[in-house]
Amino acid sequence: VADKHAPIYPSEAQINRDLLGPLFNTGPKYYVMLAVLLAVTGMVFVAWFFQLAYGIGMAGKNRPSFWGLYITTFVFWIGISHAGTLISAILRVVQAEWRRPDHAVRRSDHDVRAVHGLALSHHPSGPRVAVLLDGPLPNSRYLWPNFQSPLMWDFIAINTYLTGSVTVSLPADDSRYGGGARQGDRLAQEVVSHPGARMARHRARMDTPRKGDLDHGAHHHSRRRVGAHHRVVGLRDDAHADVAQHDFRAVLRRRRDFSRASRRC
Amino acid sequence: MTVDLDRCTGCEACVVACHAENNLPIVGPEQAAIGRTHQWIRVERYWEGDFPNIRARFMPVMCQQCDAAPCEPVCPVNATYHTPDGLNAQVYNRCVGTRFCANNCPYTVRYFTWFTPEWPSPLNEQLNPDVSVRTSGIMEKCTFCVQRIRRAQDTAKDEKREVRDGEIQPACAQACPAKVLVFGDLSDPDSQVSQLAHSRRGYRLLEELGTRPRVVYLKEAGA
Repeated sequence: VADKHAPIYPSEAQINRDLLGPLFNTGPKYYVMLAVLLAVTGMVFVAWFFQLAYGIGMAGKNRPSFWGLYITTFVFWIGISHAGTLISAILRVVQAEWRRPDHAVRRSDHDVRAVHGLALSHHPSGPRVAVLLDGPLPNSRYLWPNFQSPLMWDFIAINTYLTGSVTVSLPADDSRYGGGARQGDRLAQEVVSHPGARMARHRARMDTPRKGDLDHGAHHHSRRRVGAHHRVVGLRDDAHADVAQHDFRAVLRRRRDFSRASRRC
Repeated sequence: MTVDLDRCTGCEACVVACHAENNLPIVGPEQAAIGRTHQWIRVERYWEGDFPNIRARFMPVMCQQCDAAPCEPVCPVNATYHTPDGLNAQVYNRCVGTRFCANNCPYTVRYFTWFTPEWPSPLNEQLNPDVSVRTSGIMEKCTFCVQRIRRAQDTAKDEKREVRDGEIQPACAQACPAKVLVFGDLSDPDSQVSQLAHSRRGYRLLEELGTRPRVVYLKEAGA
């Protein structure tokens, strides 16, 4: 006898449509927004060009506000990066594994921001664009840098962050950065070009322990959990953690077969 | 160096002399209005009282050549450092323009060259060959006319003697008609500057910050 008070869930297809719709359907509004944002980005480069061509004075700083907007934006950047890291870390700690693909995207955002912060000298480090990019190590003046200076600490912190984001958190994307590329690249290739095989193996791995309703190591998939959260987990085809990232990339490539509803949830 | 505030009339001859001696860029009125002047020595003016009983007080401020200079530890490339004889020196070739030193200076006596400097004619004809012309993106400040100090030291060495008291005069002290500024060796108890520095009127700017400035100000009478 069906429980009258059981919540009525929308169908899997419905959830898929609602959640992933914006990824597949881009209306004119999207392109308008894109144009506006690209224009804003373009303005950055125009301003940067002026600064490089005419001198740091173009940035409107003076005595005694020697850093002005630059230190503001730098601190802003730090705040965003650390907030993103914190959120990722929290989700990781509470084992909200279904958010994994989001983490990947968010972390690649961080990479972009780290590079951005370095290359555009978001840091108020003066007229030489490359001051932070190639760093004063070893110093072209045959002089060690002054490690007492908090600017050196910034330099080290930013580079640590950049290195960490690139090498640790994005294993599947290593190929882009060269480091540790081979394995990640192979995985990505396989997932993108032979999704079926990969998914079959994945299912096989996921299936067996489920029959006994055991804890198969991924207790975040616990079947005891019911409700919307469970449904969303189902969205990604019971995505196992390390597959989830690939799934999401595939989704971005409009591989609908990855986002179809699972057999059972 | 001592600065006798009782004598200062605010004529700014020191500022002009400094400009001429140290090849300071002329930035023009627009840049000056947004706070980009170069004045290694500047005369601060304070008004006291209400009209008609009003009075102006003047205070020349230059780099205080602090013993514990806050600008030095923050420079990532050691562009500002302490010379063995105690000057707070700025090495232009090392400077990459982070401006951290200026941010850390409580006296705001460090000046940044925002654009490539130009001198309107005929000022371009009178650049001092003893002083380097700095390009844009460089931090600079009062050097106590280090070129004059070195020249006097060299002369004394050639003549096999010590540098005499009063032999070295920075451009500002030389130009001051009221003899406000006195330069000399503070470690020599007999020098004029030493005796002035031990006056009961003597104090140092923002002493409480612990920067141990090496410029002694002599209080105005009645102040």
